[in-house]
Amino acid sequence: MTPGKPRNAGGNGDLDPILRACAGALLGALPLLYTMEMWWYARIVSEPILLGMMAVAGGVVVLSILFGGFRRGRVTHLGIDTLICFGIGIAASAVTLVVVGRIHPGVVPLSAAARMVALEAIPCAIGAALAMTQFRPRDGDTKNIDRRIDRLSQDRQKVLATLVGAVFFAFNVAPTDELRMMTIEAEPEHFPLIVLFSLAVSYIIVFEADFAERPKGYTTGALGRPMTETMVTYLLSLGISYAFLVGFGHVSPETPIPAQIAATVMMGYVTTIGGSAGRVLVAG
Amino acid sequence: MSPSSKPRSEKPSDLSRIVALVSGIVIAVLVGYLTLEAFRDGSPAVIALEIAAGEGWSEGESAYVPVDVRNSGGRTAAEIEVETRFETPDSEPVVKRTVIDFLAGGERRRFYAVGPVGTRPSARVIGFQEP
Repeated sequence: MTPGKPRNAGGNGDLDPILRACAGALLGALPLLYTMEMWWYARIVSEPILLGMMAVAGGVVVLSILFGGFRRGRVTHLGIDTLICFGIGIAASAVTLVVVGRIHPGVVPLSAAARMVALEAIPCAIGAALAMTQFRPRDGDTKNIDRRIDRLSQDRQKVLATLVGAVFFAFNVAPTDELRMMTIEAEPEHFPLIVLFSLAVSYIIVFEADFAERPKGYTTGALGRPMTETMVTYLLSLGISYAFLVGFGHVSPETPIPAQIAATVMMGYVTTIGGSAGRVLVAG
Repeated sequence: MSPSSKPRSEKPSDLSRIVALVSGIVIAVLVGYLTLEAFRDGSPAVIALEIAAGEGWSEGESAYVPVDVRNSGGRTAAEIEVETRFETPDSEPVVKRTVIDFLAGGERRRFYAVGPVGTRPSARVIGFQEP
């Protein structure tokens, strides 16, 4: 290994963060680009739901950039980074789907191709945002980074971090049929265990695993106590889980209530870990 | 989550502006197209079959005959079940069933029916689901 080139902040015209976002888009979403349920779902999802998902993803991208710190020290430049992340997400999604042959001109119609690109662009854009903001060079100049999220109370930061992490993780599981299969095949006694295990894992990730040093004031506010934070963020994660289950057609109002609860708890394990990862990242 | 020192304000580089501009255009085109599609009246799925016998080949005693399945309607069809039948003069017909997972409106998928050399298959749609 040779020493890296000296970094000149801004000297390369912001090429590094843009390339980092491209890499993040692929690193974050490649499993979903290779998931057939995503291609199928893109063919059957209605456009209003798809546009709604993109709008939610836009919010998550903005939050990710606010958490990690946008690059220029002025909130007006948040819009530029948000556009870049989403544009890179769309490009990464489209190029990959064409290169691997999932979008084949003359075989796959434009409407299906557009919906596939739009759906796959969502996790790509979130991955791009996280990479652009979180995976900066360790020797980089961080004084010019504006973490506007720091102005919020600790409680709000925790809630938003949980939402971002839970949504990102939910995207990796919600489209798959395995979730439905696991829910159906699990015995009733598994579900209380999943709840307990989800809470325990969340607590361990955030408070015991020592991923990041918690900032001053972390224990202030309504969510200041570890058990309170763990319980409230778990409920939030269940809410995200249910929204994804509805969005991806796993449950509907006609689904029996016990089945809705079972699926939400099953998916909640994933979103709880995602939410915990989000809070750890923010604390870092 | 610690308070940060006031950051220095910089103008975005030309590269950032250009990438953001192109991204904005791409996003607008994609969202605009999806919005237009949302208002388009989705006609029911219509499954059409076409046997491309001229593009087939044979190997040993088996003939490989391409069958194109196209959804010429607007809505997506799922679990499309197609039956191909090779009529043989001296024995029972060779009947195969093929299931295609999804076909969006306007989408085409090809599968190959395999039967005895010298026979030409007929094909029909058994049914499909509307997801």
